[in-house]
Amino acid sequence: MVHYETMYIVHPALEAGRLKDLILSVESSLHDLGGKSKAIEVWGKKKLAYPINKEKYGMYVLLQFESDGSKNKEFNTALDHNTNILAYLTTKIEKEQLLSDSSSLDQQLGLLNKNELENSSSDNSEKSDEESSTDEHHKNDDIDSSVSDKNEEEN
Amino acid sequence: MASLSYQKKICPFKENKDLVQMINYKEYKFLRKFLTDQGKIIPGYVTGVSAKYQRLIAKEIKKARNIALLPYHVDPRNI
Repeated sequence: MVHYETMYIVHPALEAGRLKDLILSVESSLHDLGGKSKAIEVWGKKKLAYPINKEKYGMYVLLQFESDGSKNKEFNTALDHNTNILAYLTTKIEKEQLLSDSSSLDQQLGLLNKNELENSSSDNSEKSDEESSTDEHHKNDDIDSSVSDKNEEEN
Repeated sequence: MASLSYQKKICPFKENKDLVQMINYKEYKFLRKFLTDQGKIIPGYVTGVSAKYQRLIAKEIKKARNIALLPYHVDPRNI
């Protein structure tokens, strides 16, 4: 048996209840095709790097599973035919890369809801997003400079 | 003949083996360092990354682009 992981983007309009149904239906279709799901991680709503089906945002979900690989094509077509899934990517992973399934799906979805509520309640949600993105840039700069410093020292 | 003096860059992944784990399409924020503002992959001779890891980086960036974590291209007028 080989380990795989599928990352798929769910339509952003689905609420938490329907999102859970969709995640479970994907899991059950995987079971029907002989796969064994190992871990599910919900990344939450993210801005897409480019619009897909005219949607600018999407809900990222990561599903790790074990299968012999012969039915992966059928699994991908099942994802293709689901209109609520914007895009997907199935890749092979090593056993060490499996996530330890610590929190249940309900917990993850509950946390997401809380975060969304907080964001919607604060008026300056957009501003805070911008601030966080600039912070990330600073972090990257730091790493870059450290790498270049090392190079200079070596020379 | 004038001697060619150039600064040889050292591959950051050979310096620090822990960084190799970061070459993964899920670590798209890290991979962004190897893209230009327009979204092009920066060649290894500019960043100093060795050919071995540049191949991995290019592959993972292409995976991240497929799932819309990284852009295929950014219009320079929007930067």
